[in-house]
Amino acid sequence: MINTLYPIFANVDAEWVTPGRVETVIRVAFLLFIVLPLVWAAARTAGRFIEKRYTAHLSLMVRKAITYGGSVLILIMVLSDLGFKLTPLLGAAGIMGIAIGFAAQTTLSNFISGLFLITEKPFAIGDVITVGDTTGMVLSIDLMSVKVRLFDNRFVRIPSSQLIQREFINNTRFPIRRLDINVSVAYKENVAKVRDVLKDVADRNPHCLDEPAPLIIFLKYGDSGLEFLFAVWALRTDFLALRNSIMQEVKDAFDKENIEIPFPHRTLYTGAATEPFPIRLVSGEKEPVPVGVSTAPAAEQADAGGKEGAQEAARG
Amino acid sequence: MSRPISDDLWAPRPLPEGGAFHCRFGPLEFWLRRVDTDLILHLRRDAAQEIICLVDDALPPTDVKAGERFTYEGPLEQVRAIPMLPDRSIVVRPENALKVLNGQKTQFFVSIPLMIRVELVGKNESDAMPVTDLITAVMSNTWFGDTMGGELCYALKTTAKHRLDTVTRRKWRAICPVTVVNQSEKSLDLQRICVQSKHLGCYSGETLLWANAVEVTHRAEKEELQVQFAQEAPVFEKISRQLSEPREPVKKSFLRRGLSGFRMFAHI
Repeated sequence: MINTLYPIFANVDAEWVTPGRVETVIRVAFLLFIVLPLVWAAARTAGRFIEKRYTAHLSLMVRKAITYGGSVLILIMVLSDLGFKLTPLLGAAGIMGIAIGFAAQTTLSNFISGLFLITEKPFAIGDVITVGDTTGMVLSIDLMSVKVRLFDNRFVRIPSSQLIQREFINNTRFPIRRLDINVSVAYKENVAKVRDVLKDVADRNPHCLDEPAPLIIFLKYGDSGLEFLFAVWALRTDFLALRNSIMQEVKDAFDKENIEIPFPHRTLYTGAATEPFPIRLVSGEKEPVPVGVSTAPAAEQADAGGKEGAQEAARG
Repeated sequence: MSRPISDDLWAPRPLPEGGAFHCRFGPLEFWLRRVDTDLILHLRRDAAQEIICLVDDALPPTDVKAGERFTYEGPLEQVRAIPMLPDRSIVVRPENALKVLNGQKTQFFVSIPLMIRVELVGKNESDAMPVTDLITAVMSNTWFGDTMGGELCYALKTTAKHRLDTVTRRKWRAICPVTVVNQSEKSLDLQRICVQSKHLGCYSGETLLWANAVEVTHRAEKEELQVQFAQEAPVFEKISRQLSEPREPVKKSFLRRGLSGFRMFAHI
């Protein structure tokens, strides 16, 4: 076969073309153009097979292992065929490895952290994780880093060592999630009625699960009102829809039942529980008016002033 | 005694151009209109209890807005409604929380709202093309199992009854007889029952619709429950015919894994 290929090398320097060299060229070409694409195809096929049966994460790892491992092996074979002596090369690589190891401790740390992440499997591709202020969907888990897509479609690369060293949250690990809502009502409200209204809101919301049952916990006597924890469960896929709908429904239900949602109040205290706070008018002939008892005249005055102002404006 | 359900209700009807397939099953009422190459679904849920199925050219009321659209170019010229058990498992509570003593068994009747499958059929009824599945009564979602793993189910507001004559009798619901056998050495605390309705077929009885009977056996605390879905029609009423097959037939391999398919546990 080699003899038949001689005409191909007809234009090449005759001294260079020897049977051994032609054989080497053929072997190298075979490795690069036949075996290498076959390795890549095998990696793709194995990846697809594993993704169907196992996880996308494992599929990605196997695919990369076959691709990189196979490529390096073929590169070594090609170099060997081309006459490179690999023993000194590997020796040099070992020494270089130690030198690089010292120089690239961070990289090494990421690498080892990546190995831990891969074996520990705290999250998988497609999970939504929160690391510090960053929340997004995991695109890939590599040895050095984890790639995340934020919900505003930005890309974030998180070094593996950061994920090993600090706390992170996997938002989608479990199939259902609890939404905690802090609800506050005025002190005058009936606690049992508030509970009933909140329970009814949970019953009516289509995203809210019946079981685990909604939690309504009377937390404390707050600065401005009675504080409750209203905790409801939903499928993780319905979580956003639940949050959007139930917040509005609580407000609507409280409005309908005339339950007051308080905002921070400040009561001025004059030193006696029943005495009104005295005020003195700077101008005018009226006696001091206690606040909260005779606010109507003041309001009327304000209205009158407003009307006069409006009339003046109309005249102007 | 309820009036018998006419088998004619489930018969295929020709759906001409401009016609509408109008059905009412309890709270569910829908129209499937054929307009050019489209099938347009109009849907509403009110408190009507009767069941009807007919084809006419009357348009749905103006307050019932058009919903889903389906492309349709033939050749199937007939339309029909088929009652099916829901696509998700049903969780129901017994009318009273109870303990089944060791060596004893108890029977419940669970009234399950049906799903109506609308499908197009040819002259040969085996040529069928499902259009949509519509639940007759909207049920709330519930979770069966722990919070880290489990199953999304429908929650029944009605309870499982011990006596057939106390069961909610509606023509748009199917009655599923459930027998619980406790063969363990301890009493079995029975608070919620999960019925995997996808393994149940629907049968037409004299006055009611029925689902396959289910028997569940509890052998030991840590052992999974053994479940048997009856392959034949229930025996509490004369059955005229089977209206629909189970969505997922119980396979041999399933039976082994399916021991947990029908579960009960003490609610925390």
